[in-house]
Amino acid sequence: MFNNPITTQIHYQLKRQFKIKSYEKLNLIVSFFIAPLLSFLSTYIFRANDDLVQNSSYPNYLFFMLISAIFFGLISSVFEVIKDKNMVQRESLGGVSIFGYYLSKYYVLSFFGLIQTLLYNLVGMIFLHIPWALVAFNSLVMFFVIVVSISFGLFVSSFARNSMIASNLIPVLIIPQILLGGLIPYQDMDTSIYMWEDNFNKAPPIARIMPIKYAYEAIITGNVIFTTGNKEVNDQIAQMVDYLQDNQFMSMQTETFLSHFGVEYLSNTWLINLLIIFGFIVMTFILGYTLFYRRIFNA
Amino acid sequence: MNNLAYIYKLWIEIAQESGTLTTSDVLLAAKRLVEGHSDADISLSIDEFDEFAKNISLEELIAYLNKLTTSKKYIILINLFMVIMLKNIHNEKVSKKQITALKEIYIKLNLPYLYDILSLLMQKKYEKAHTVIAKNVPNIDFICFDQHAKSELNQSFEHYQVSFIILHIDDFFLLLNHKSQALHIYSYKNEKNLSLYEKCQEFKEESFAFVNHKVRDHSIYYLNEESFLRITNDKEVIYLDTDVLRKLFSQETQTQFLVSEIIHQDKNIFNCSIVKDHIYKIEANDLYAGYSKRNTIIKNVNFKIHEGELVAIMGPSGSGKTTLLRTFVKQAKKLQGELLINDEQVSQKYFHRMGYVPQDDVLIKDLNVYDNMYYYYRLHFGKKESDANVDKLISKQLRNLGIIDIKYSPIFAQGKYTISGGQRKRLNIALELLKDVDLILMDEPTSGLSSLDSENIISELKQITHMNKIIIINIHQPSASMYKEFDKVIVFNEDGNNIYTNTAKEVLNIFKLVKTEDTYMFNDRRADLEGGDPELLLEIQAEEKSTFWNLFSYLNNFTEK
Repeated sequence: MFNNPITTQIHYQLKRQFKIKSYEKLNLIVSFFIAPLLSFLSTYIFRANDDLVQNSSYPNYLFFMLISAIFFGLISSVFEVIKDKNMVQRESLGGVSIFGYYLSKYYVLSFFGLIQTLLYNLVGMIFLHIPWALVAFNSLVMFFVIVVSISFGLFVSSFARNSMIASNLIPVLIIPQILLGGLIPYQDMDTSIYMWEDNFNKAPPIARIMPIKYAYEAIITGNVIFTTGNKEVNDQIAQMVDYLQDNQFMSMQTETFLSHFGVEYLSNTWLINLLIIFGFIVMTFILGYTLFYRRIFNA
Repeated sequence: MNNLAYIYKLWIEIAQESGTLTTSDVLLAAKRLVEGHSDADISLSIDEFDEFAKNISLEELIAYLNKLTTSKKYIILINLFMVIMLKNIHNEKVSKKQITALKEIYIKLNLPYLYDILSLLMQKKYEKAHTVIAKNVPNIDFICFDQHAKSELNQSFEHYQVSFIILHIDDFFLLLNHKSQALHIYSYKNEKNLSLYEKCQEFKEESFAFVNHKVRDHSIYYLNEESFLRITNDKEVIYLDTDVLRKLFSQETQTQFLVSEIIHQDKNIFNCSIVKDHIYKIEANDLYAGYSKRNTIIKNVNFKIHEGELVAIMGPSGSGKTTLLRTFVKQAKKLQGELLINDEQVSQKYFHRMGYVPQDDVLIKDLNVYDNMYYYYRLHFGKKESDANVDKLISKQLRNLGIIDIKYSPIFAQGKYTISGGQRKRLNIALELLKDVDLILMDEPTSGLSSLDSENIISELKQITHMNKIIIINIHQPSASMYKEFDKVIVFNEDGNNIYTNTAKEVLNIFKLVKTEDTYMFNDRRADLEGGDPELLLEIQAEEKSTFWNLFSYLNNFTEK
């Protein structure tokens, strides 16, 4: 082979990916415009009260933010690998690393996802008067969701044979997340969704494979933790936790696992949930890359 | 082959025999040279050669020569053209300006004395010509290895595109010129060199022991003294065919290791370019390939391709043309038989010397032409060259393919392509040339192009093969003029059976043979076929597809007989 180190390859792959994005100016503008626009729309709808403390719709705003994040991540990534397949196939003959390509795709999409996250939360901060500490935390969770969606998107892109199949798969990935993400109480749903489980006091198995469930749990519990110094805000958000607990939303596994070690349930739940999302990211990255690698060499 | 001394010698002999030097004589000399030294081919027949000489103007010839590479293989052809040109000069009394242009070409080719030699031969001054040859010719092939001759060495490397240096000892050194596929053994003492191809055959079965020996300030490796003397005792210079050499080397793995070690060492000393795993031969023996055992697409494929050849895979739609190409890059499975590169099974080892251009565009639409090439280069070679040098390389390839004017053009904008289909095909070729691969596999390079564009592309591919590359293309309906450019054709029938593999010329010649054969198949077209017109082949293909493919089956049977 050409003995070109993988680090150098990643360097040039990143440069190339950024250059490609910079050529797609209109796309870029639209994607950066969409984030604050959706944020503005959600703040308009979910601003039940100008004072965040009194705003009972705040959890809905957070949920909508996570759903938007899934959209951003999936839409930006689901067509990426398909369109480059022939090119990667050709370059791989000359020893260009497929891993380098896949990783650089990940990096670049995540970078643009980060910008969208910041724009989204900036608008939220302005219109809902969210304290900066919460904005930072909300941005972190939203970014995690965007990355996990990119991961899913690239996986689908590696899996689908053409763009049409990939675009048809987008609703399949999004709608269940909306339904089972936790905003709609599980007890309002048919008990058959619990499948083999007979304990209806926790999230059904199918919901436990939805990254957004963990993200929503993380963002809600995190909002409580990061406002402990502000009693008024904290009380308001604590009500959300009660609401969620009433709806058997919290991860029973997390609760049980932590209670063994005498750890307060709430204080670490956000972190545990983010780690679970990180697990999703790693897992889908490995699966997506493996699938893509096989597609390149067994096409 | 490629021994200039030998060709000059032959020219003198023939000129002396015939009393004058004609075009046919020169061609005969070249043919003798070729037949005597390898199975390489000179692509023009005597008639074609004369026709070429008659019609070409001096300006056209100069332009043509400027396009040619300076590799030794083409020096032969260049020399032949020189003779024709001199004939023209002699007959037509060309202007001084034209003669100056001619001399400039010789200087560019690093053969300034050639003009004198040929002029003397034309004037029947054989003795004097011989003296000039004796004085100059050894310098063409002779490369001094002493440190003080380093500049000369570098110049020679540039001139001949030398890739490997094998070994050197006291008064001798061996040099493998990778591009011309020949190994030279040279003597410092004797400047006279001879071609001894037949002698080399004797060494095929020999096993040579290699001994590590210390000479001067660095290690060298050489054939044991006894064997070496057997090669060199009666003739001072041996001219070995590379295939023979490879056979010798492949007998001992240790030897191969030593050779690569020397290559590395000499790279440091002489800063010469090294080509690893250069592909010079491809072979398929009873090859069956497809996507699974139940889905065998191509059957019983047999061919042998050498570097410098443009090969067309022909057959009806769905006959497995693409599958054959994909088998090389392991996108289709070899199910039975052999597919060999340099006598080894196809493996990833050779992937970096191959370029596969699928039928669909593999360009990045969102980048412009330059960026497509720039990142393609960087991803393969990293930071090996500065940006300025990469820019030069890109410009060179684009210029060679006649698309330099679109260097900074976007490929796709506002929902449509901004460069034509032909330009995109050329750009795809340029990407592979940038990588400097030996084997280019192209799936339908002419699909969707106008007939003029298609012909130009095929003609450019033919030019590229002159850089010692193998190009294999899939083509559905080549025109007669395109067909003439192919060196070989591999033909499949509807069922994926390889029904014919031979030189393209052979197919045309077969028309002439048809009239002597009693075949029911062509009774209705016999009168037409006897004309031997290649256009007819395509006409039959268009009109009667089954007859066309049957024709190839017939040719195959005929060849076997």
